[in-house]
Amino acid sequence: MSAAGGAATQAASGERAASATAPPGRRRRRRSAVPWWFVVPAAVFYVFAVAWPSLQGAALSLTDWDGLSQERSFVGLAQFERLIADSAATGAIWNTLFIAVGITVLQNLVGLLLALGVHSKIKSRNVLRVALFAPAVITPVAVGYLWQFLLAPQGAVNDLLGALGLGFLQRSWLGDGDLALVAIVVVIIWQFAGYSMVIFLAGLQGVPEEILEASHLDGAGAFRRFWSVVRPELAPALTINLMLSVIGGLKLFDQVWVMTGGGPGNATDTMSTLIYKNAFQFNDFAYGIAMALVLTAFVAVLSSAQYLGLRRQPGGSS
Amino acid sequence: MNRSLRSTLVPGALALALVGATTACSSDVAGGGAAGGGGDGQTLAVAATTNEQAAMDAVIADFEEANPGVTVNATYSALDQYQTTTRTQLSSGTAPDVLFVWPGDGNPVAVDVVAPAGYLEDLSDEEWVADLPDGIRPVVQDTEGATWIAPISFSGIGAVYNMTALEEVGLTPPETWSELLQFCADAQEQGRSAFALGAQTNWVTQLIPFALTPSLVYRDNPDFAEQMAAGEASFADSEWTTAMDKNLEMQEAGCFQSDPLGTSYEATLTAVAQGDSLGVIQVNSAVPGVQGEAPEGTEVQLLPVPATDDPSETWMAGAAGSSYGINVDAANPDLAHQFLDYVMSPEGTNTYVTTNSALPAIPNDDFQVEPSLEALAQYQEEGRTYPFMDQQWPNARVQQTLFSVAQQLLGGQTDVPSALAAMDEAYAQG
Repeated sequence: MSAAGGAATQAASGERAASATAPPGRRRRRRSAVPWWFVVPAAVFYVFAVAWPSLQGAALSLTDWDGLSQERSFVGLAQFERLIADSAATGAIWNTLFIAVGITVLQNLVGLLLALGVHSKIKSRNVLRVALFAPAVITPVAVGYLWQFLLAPQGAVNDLLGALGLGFLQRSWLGDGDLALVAIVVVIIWQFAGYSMVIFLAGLQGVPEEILEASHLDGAGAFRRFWSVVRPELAPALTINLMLSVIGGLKLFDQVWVMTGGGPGNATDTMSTLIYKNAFQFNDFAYGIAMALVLTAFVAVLSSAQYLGLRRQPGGSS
Repeated sequence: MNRSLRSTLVPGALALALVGATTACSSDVAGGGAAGGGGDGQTLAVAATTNEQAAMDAVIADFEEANPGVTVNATYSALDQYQTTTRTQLSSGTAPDVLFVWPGDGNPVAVDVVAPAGYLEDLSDEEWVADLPDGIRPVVQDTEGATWIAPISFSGIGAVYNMTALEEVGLTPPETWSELLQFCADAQEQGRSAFALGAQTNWVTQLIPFALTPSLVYRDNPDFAEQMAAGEASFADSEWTTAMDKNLEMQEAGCFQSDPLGTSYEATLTAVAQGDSLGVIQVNSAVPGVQGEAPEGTEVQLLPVPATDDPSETWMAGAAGSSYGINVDAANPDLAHQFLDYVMSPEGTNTYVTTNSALPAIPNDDFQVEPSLEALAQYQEEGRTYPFMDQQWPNARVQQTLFSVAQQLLGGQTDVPSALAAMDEAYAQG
């Protein structure tokens, strides 16, 4: 980047920064002018419909309730002690982490690439945007059934591989425990990469053209423009995308339940499927609640840590 | 809201929302709630699984016709969802008047789970109770002899064969274990699989052990379930080992299509209907499923699965099937009793079981056995059936463990001793 060009970029950037911070006093006044008690009706409803029932439910983890009987006994932390010794729960935690990490990294990478692609001036970009976002509006259960058929031994995926002369790549996609977990991650990415794309796209549309033009004049290449100009501007979009995908990955249920039911064996059980099994199939409701609380703690800690970490990054959202 | 407060509240809200979503989870699909009578027209709420829909709808139509002014609102949901919804409705006092309940134990909505919790009305005084066959009583009554559910049908597990496809390839159904292995080899030579296995659908994995153990375990030792309950027997030290070994032997002999673990239940019905597989080891309710997808004129039969080389030693798994109880808080208990009495009458029962391709739990002279179920009817009459094993297990975890270990066995991730030890461990949880 030349000195003159660098000056042009800095000037454009400074101009924008100045305009963004021009009326701080007025904006602060406008924010503080909103009365806090506006939140009371919603807060009351939230406490009544969500917080109180949730706390009541959480208290059941300290009992031996089977989910049906009218009697229950206080057992203290016994359900949590069982959890530590339960190999199925340990396996489910690892599976959940694998899925959450896989989805978070790959879904956002694919979503970002798609956003960059459809943000360009290609002719069919609007059609592509709709097509790429479309899977995100399909109910996850329907997507699960769809892919269960596509990934069946005689399903379309193996048929396609055979037709392309890639028969050696044909696999038991959902019948092999290791592959099934990967297949689930791929299906989630297929469904929700378009969702991440839309959020990144919103971020990309906020990148000032003048800075991009200025950096172009400075001689910055495509990658340099992305890294030095676009990426910092995408930080808020990245923050929300990462948070949504981490939370979504940690509490994933529908697609796993429909595609594999947690099997073969327990190979694809996640915390959510195991919670469901214990609470509703094993007559072990209190243990299921204990698992749900652990999952809740997982989500809360990981998403908070991620939120705080990203917020401290340059350009991070606040 | 300042930054620090927001950063505190956001994760907190997430945590509460998640607990709420899990603990307060309920579904409105089955809906219904207790029926409300009144006025000229009385209404009754009935809930069942979707497998029962055709049969129940047929009975309801007849009942409404015979009782003008009465409306029966039936809601149906898939098995998993039905179990979840019904448990939630029962514990929250919003269950329907008449509800589908599984006989025995070992299921989240089994009579031995629901009745002791006080959610079902005692049906001991109903007229049909006296006619219940002895083989069915243990799974619909408690240890003191009180009857809690009305069993309508008698179901069986066997091999559902596409007889038309068998004829095409010149094969006949096997009657001994050796013939079964030869049958598998012969089917392979003809480019077919002997049996379709949809082990991706977890409940399917129990059916081969359930088809083999009546001959291998319970025929010689009908008290095995009681011995298990008394702690005097175990899965691992019984002929269950042989049954699980034979399951694996079938896999090694190429009895199944490729990749059973990646194949669903629905796909197996299609495979048998199209003749790609010659049969499928299933419950009798799979018969109409295969017939529905097969070309017109295809002959389908449910036959016993041999487990030894002596055909006289072959038994079938046969047990009380579709059963219903009355909600103790039913808004219209008289109408609920009237409806259940009608369903248990020969007329109601025959309509129900004919639609569902089953046999009546209480045999009656008016019932015409359909050709596909003649073998099951014969075995029932000869007393060569044993109830589905899960009906006598003490908790639902044993069956769920069987689902898991059977999949792991097929996938080579465990061995028979470990699998049965896991089932014993689940059984011991009581």
